[in-house]
Amino acid sequence: MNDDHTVLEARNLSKTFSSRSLLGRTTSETRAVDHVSLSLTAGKTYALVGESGSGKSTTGRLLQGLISPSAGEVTIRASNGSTSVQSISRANRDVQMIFQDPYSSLNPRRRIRGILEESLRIIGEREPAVLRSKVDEALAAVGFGEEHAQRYPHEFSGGQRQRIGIARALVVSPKIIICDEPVSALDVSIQAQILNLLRKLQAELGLAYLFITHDMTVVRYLAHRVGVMHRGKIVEEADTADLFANPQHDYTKRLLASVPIHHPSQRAEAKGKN
Amino acid sequence: MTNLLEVVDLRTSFDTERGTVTAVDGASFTVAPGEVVGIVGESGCGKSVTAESILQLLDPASTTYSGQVRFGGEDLLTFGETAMRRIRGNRISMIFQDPMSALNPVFTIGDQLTEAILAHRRIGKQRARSEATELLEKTGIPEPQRRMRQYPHQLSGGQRQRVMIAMALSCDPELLIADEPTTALDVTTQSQILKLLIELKDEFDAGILFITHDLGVVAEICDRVVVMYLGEVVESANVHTLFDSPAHPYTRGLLASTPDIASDPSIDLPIIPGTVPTLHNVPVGCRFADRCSFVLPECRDRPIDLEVLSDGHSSRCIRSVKLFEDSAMSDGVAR
Repeated sequence: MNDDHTVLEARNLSKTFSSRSLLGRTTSETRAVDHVSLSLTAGKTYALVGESGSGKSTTGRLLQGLISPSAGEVTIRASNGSTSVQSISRANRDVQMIFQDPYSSLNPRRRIRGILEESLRIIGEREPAVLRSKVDEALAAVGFGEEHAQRYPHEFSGGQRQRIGIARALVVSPKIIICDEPVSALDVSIQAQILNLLRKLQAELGLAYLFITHDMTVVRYLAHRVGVMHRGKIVEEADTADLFANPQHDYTKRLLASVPIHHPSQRAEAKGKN
Repeated sequence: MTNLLEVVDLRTSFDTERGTVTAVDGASFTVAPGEVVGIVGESGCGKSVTAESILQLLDPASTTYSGQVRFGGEDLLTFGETAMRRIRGNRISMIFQDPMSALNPVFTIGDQLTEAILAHRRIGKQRARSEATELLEKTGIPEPQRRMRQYPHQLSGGQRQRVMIAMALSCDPELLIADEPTTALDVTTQSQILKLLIELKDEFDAGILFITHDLGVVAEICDRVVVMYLGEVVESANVHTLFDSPAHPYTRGLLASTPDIASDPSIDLPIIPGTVPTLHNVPVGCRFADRCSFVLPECRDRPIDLEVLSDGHSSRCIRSVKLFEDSAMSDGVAR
């Protein structure tokens, strides 16, 4: 998958965390991410699935440059040439992140307009007219208008706050959005609203998503390609339909067998699978 | 079959800075021995408050209960704190979403389990310890002897939840209340814990009241389901009836908007528009009216009664009967 539409490539990424004793001696090392390679394509969603502690969130943070890898590299391809993600300002513009908890990821003391403008200032935008029009555009993309821009985060519900999180990511016109469990803290009826919105934005803007999740039903609905992470490694990677139809790795099979059934009539069948 | 638990017209209100809110408004349901009853709904629907009201776990200074919680021929709401202590953890146990915060980090698993057993039964310490080890084994924890000597942080989330289940079962309760016990766990662990609960329920012949927001979990283990919305029961039915012919538009919306592995991923998910109103401004008429695709002007006039559609199936919607018959409308939720 090394075609022209590749927007991000990670090669042999590893991240080791070490814990030290009081005297500074390294006492133990944990390899959270172990030789992970993946590429993201414009207009497509790559889902990274696995259980807690499998290294999927750490991988997401490495791709955005929030933490630096112990080994390996991340390359972002822009129309004007490739850049290594180590150049942070580049990463801020091209790769944005949406977090799981929309409550703690928005500054409670700032109005929505201020929160979105901050993202633009970080990448060097100062012109008031540009700030205003870009914020308006991003808010409109998630279904909000001027009346919402003047409010504070606490005036919104969980689902609405996640929309604001999406608008904040969109405002700098990124190519890639890393979505770390963006719907798992939301109510069922709100999850569908956000998932549909993410799909619509991808179709309109050609965004590449890295979707970090443990929920296989969401993967089926949103992802084009899936990487299954287990103990820091990608143990299986396949196109979504193939992965569900024909899982190869034992862990993938176990993961799929554990997905809750959709109707009580599937109970006997589900028991047979285990 | 005689019911183990009969909740009749339960109302739980809190005094808040902005006035009194009624978090549970007239809930009625039953649990029979050996039965798993699910209470399902979104945040703020009152499902956890219902569970906590049964055991009177809410702050007595700001909480008012009314109605009845009939258990073993008596109304628990008439019991004082001392009498309730003999019920809690003894005849009715509860497990919570987060096992880490329910365990004491500075005592070993063995100490905590043994203490729980000794608190409720008059047996020697040695015997309590060996029973604790046996319980750990029953909940499928490998090397129970070694685990007894370990501290909560040395166990994984799934193992901690198994310890909580062992603790809840230590006094052979008649009723187990499980409040989102698998929500914080990985899916592979979740399916193991659900299986374990079913096995143990059969072995101990206890009834289970299962609080969850996850319809997949409901499909896996519940016999009957109570759907709550903004403090009210909006539908209750046998689990097969609920999934085959949901009668309330909210239940239909919930079922339709839950992504399914088998559904066509190229089609947008059906959604329930809008958000749940707060308890501070509960609508006069149907509480779901503002988000409902089938709403009529009369839905907003006055409170809607729970209507019995068939044996064991009721719905709080003036259009249930029609919706129920007209299957063409079954997919009429907004997209």
